[in-house]
Amino acid sequence: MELKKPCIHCDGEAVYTQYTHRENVAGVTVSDPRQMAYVCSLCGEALLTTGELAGLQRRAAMTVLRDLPSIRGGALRYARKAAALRQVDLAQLLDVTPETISRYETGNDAVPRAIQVAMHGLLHLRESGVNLQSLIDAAAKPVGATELVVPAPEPRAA
Amino acid sequence: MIERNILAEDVNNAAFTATAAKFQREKGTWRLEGGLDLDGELLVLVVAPRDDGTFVVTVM
Repeated sequence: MELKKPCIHCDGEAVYTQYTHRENVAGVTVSDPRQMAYVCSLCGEALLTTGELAGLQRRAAMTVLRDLPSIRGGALRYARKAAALRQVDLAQLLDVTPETISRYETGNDAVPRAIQVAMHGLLHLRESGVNLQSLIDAAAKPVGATELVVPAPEPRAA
Repeated sequence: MIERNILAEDVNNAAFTATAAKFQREKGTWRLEGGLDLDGELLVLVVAPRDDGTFVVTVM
């Protein structure tokens, strides 16, 4: 049985089917052909939840960070937002100032490779269900702790 | 109009940080105001409930 629902963009009908999502990451088009979604047979638009779209955007950003030898500021900004991080959050995680992150994101120079790799790692953690806020909070804990508690498993990110 | 690159997580952040929800009776939609995107800029969301129980979110 075909799963169908009305399209939100036009008067057409959307059918649940395989489709290729294309995401523009700061000028680089990333194709993700493994997706299932409701796709309108009239206008061709896919109907996605914000959770589904967030996941697609995280994976697109990870692909750019992994496959390109260097990135510009626009791609770093996209990746940061795909990881649901503010500039101040990313700065804390990477032990740099928010001004440094802002300079990378708005400058014309290539982003340092170490930042690119670290950003990929953060996205990978987020994709694996790790709450990045826990890493940010850890920075505020006293140095030299001798006792820690293994946290309960966190729900996977959508 | 200045074009902004909005990601899904910007929409989530704006929804979480919104300070006012106004029902627009003539359109049958909710306008979420006061929310911020991940760059700290105001992002207004218009939420339209549908008959099938889902919501269509438009950014402004």
